Amino acid sequence: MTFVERLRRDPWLLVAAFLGVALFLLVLVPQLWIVRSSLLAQDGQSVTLGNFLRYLTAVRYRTALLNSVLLAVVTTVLSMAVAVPLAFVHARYRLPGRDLVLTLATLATASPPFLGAYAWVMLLGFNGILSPGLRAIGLPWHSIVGFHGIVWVGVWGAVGLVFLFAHDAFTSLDPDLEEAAESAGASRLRAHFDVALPLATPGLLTAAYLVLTGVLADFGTPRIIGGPVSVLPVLLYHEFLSEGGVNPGMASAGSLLSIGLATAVLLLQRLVLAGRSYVMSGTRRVAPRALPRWAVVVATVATALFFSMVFVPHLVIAFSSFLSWRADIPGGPFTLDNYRALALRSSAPVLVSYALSAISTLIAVVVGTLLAYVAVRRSYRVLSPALQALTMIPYLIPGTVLAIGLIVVFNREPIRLTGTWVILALAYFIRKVPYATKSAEASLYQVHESLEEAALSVGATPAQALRDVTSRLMLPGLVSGATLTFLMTLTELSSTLMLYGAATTTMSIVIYQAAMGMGGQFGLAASTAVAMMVSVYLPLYLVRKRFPSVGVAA
Amino acid sequence: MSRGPVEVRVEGIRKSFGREPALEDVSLDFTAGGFNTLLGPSGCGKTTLLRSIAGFVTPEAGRVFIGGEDVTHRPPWTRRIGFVFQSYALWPHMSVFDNVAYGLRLRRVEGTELQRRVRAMLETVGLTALHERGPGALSGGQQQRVALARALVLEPDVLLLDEPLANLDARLRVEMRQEIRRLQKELQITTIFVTHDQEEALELSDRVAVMSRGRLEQVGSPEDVYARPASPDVAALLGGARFLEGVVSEEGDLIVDGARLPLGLSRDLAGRRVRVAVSPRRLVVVAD
Repeated sequence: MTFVERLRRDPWLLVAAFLGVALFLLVLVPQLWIVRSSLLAQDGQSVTLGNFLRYLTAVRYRTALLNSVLLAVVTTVLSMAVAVPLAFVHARYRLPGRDLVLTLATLATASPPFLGAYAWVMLLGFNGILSPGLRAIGLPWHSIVGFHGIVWVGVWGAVGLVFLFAHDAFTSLDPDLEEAAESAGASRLRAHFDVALPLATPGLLTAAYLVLTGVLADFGTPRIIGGPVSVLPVLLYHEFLSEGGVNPGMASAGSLLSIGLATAVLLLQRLVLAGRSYVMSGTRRVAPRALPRWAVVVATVATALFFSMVFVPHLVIAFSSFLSWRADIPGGPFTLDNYRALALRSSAPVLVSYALSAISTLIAVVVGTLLAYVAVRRSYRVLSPALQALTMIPYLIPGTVLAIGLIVVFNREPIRLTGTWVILALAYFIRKVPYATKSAEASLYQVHESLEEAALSVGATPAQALRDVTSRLMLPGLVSGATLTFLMTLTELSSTLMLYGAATTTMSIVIYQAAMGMGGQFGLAASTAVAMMVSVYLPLYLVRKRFPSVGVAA
Repeated sequence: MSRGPVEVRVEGIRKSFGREPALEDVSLDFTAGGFNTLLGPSGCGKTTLLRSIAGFVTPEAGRVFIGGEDVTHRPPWTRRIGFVFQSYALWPHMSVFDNVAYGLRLRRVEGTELQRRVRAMLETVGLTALHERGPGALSGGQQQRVALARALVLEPDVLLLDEPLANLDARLRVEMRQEIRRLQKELQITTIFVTHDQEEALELSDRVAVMSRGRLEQVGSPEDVYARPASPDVAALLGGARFLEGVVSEEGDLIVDGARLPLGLSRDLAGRRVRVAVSPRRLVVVAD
């Protein structure tokens, strides 16, 4: 059979080849440039490993690296310690407000981390709203800025996600297993520890993995609340962009180190999970048991505390958006000036955010659907594994690093994209295409292949079959996947900060600048933040109502 | 549209999935306008053969001819086939009417002509009242009729049926069996029917091709394959036969472990060791 005949029979081959080339250029080529630049010495000529070695020898670099790792581990351990027991109690015992709790946890997963950092600085920074009060009652309170602040914000930012994963892991256990342990003479507590916890490990490990890599890649939180504490993403930002002493070699080496860290964590997670995937035989899900009254009260109070800590930043920001601000000092009385300013003079960032997110989401969903189709319905000897790898690489690239790669490649003729909206849309698209693909794959698995073959058998071309049958049936999944992608891009900060220009200032940039004490538009930043929260939580809430399984990130 | 009954032929078809061979050098003619059945146990390659004829599967070697035309490298959507799936594969987001009309719409049939042809076909399969419904609201038998209507409304050259009765309960299965046969007779369309159920095969077919382990075992009329199975596999498939092994005596009796069974076997076999298939209805010598 000739190649042309093969293409005529299976036009998807052409689609797969095109996607392969496009992803290679957009995802891999920038990273290869980073590799090249990381191996060049300061003179830009000789090849060296010196840049990598300096991360181990020079204090400035070593500290950032160690801080990042330490921060990730501490934040992960603490967020698990807080959220897992609570999730267990909610999964196993009958407690009031189950739906509300799950909805709140889902909403918490969409909270942009820098928003939390901003709000906690406002509350507990050196000049924070609550700080004088703490000092007045005799506490030796200085400020939340510092390592402890990054951990604090990181933990409350991560617990929603951990809660959801843990809750799911504990409810999908077959109750017979624990009952069997109890019938063998184990106490209920003993059964929890010996049976329930080990069987839930895969779910818990996945949550831990997501938190760990999330913290490793997070730029906003350490930048806003870290003060002098240096971590890898912030260091990279400075190395690459700061006015004096730009050092692309070190930035590139650091970029590769952070990708290496993410890859190592992923491999570790795979390795640990490999021996632990249990197949549950029963289809029965756990029926929650009753708790004594005092325990219900304790659990409910703990839950209320938990979620108030999670949502404190949102309340603080919403509150502050109704204050009039003079420089960075909030004052009375209540006013709608900030919203008036937002609507009349400063709506551009909102519109820019929406436009960028809409465009990149649209492309990510279309490309993700095509990628999912090839992944699920075709198996090409070379193209399929190549596409799968190319799709998943962006998972491992922190936003800062992705931005560096794009700048390196697209800041020269003939393609000069830096400073335009195109490079931002491109960055958002690349960052989110793995999520869009995964969610499209999940919905494609629900569409039986014979439905499509039936279309071919009555004369539909593959394109017509995709348009009229397969994509229609995937639609609910695509809509919820698109919504999540849209929300994630709406709150994107790390790559935005490196790629935006005056005309492409987004909501996240406005909030970031206020949080960094730049620009003095605090009232406006607060109302912009409220606009962002509404833009995120309202669609998420609606989608979750329609498709209850949605919400756990990818 | 219809150009009268069309012959279908496959020549030397080979196909494997991974290292498992699914079809090994299968050649077969399907009579024009006839009801041809591919019979065999699951995994024998009968569905793969059917899907090769439809174009869903590309054989590694061999050719497929529909109406004398080599369609081996033609994609399914250009082959003028009608395919009915085991799971019916009705599109759940379309009404019964739209399911049947979809292929016509792709061919730019519109307006009253579209209405007329879809309604006529729904009437043919006995489903006039239900065209507004979604497939989810139909019973298994009704879904089957819609699937048939969807395939037949395009007046295809060949109707391919992949175990279409397997998902129905026993009573409906018998009813639909007769329905399919009636439609086929009425439309005089070359039909290839895949099943593992020998009763279906024997009752419906003009010709039966028995397959086993990727190979063609025997082709013939239902009477032929039932009365004179060419191999133990064929005999075992037709009627759940049991085997008696023994030596044929001068008188044509079968001697099994010293016991003499007066079977009236051919005296030509005298003195030879044979296996005799014992089916619920009759005894047949299958091999020696």
